[in-house]
Amino acid sequence: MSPSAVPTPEQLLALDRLLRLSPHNSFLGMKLESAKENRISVSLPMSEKLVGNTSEGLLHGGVVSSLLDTSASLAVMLRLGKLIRVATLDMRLDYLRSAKAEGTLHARSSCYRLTDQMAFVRGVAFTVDDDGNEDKIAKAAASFLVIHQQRVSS
Amino acid sequence: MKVLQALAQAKDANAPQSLLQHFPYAEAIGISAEIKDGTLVTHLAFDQHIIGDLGAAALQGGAISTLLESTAVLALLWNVEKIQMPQLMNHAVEYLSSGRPLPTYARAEITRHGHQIANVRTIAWQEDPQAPIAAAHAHFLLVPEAK
Repeated sequence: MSPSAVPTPEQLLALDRLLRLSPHNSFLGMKLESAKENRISVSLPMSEKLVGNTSEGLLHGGVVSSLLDTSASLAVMLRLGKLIRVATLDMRLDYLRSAKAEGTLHARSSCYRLTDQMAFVRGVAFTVDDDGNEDKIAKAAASFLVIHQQRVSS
Repeated sequence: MKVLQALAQAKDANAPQSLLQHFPYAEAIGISAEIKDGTLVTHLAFDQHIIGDLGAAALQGGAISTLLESTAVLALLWNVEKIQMPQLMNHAVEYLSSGRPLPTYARAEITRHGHQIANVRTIAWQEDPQAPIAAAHAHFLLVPEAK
């Protein structure tokens, strides 16, 4: 993969396979939606299983964390142009509104700064209404350690 | 039954585990809760479905974040009298070391509980409570339980 280019279908497949290799991502039914330049989009189907508490019946924030963690780490690999292991150092999430646990949850991330060992990522989680408008649920800021010694296979 | 009614009963019995049925995702991912030396301690059982990276056998950050967030909510409900259902405004998680395929525990400290806002710090560990694998702080807005 060349860095920051439009990935080929094969490269997209490699990122998608990598995403699906993770048991936690599979548990949540995550899939790759698109990847181009520095932006990567993933999604998962919401259901009653993902409800935080039964009083409110709203989506648990942990689900948003998982989807954004996945999209953010894939965004780093997309920017690197290589499937190299990355480790989340920290992630801060601002919850802009609460969400019903139904329909599709989307997340889009981009790696806006990459150094030898560090990557800085911004991400957003949102739903899409019938007219195609995005409604933001949470915004994320994360940093990653890039572990060049360890390649990941997909 | 509403969560706050269940909370009163759980407190009477000193048994936080009975609350988990009202927290569907926390229960689905494998979180349980108990009182240990007077403190609420949560436990995330190890299971394949919390693994994020097969090659490194590391837990997914989101699974650890789910444990920490759930712990913060449960601790607020458990420790604050006349509590309202807390609403998470933001959550900042530091991943201190890779989560290994082991049981993970967490506890919370309520830094401040005001009228509108509660600040909560949490830590998670595996074999050694002195060697945390993650730490977080969260801000909650306190709102009345939905009627």
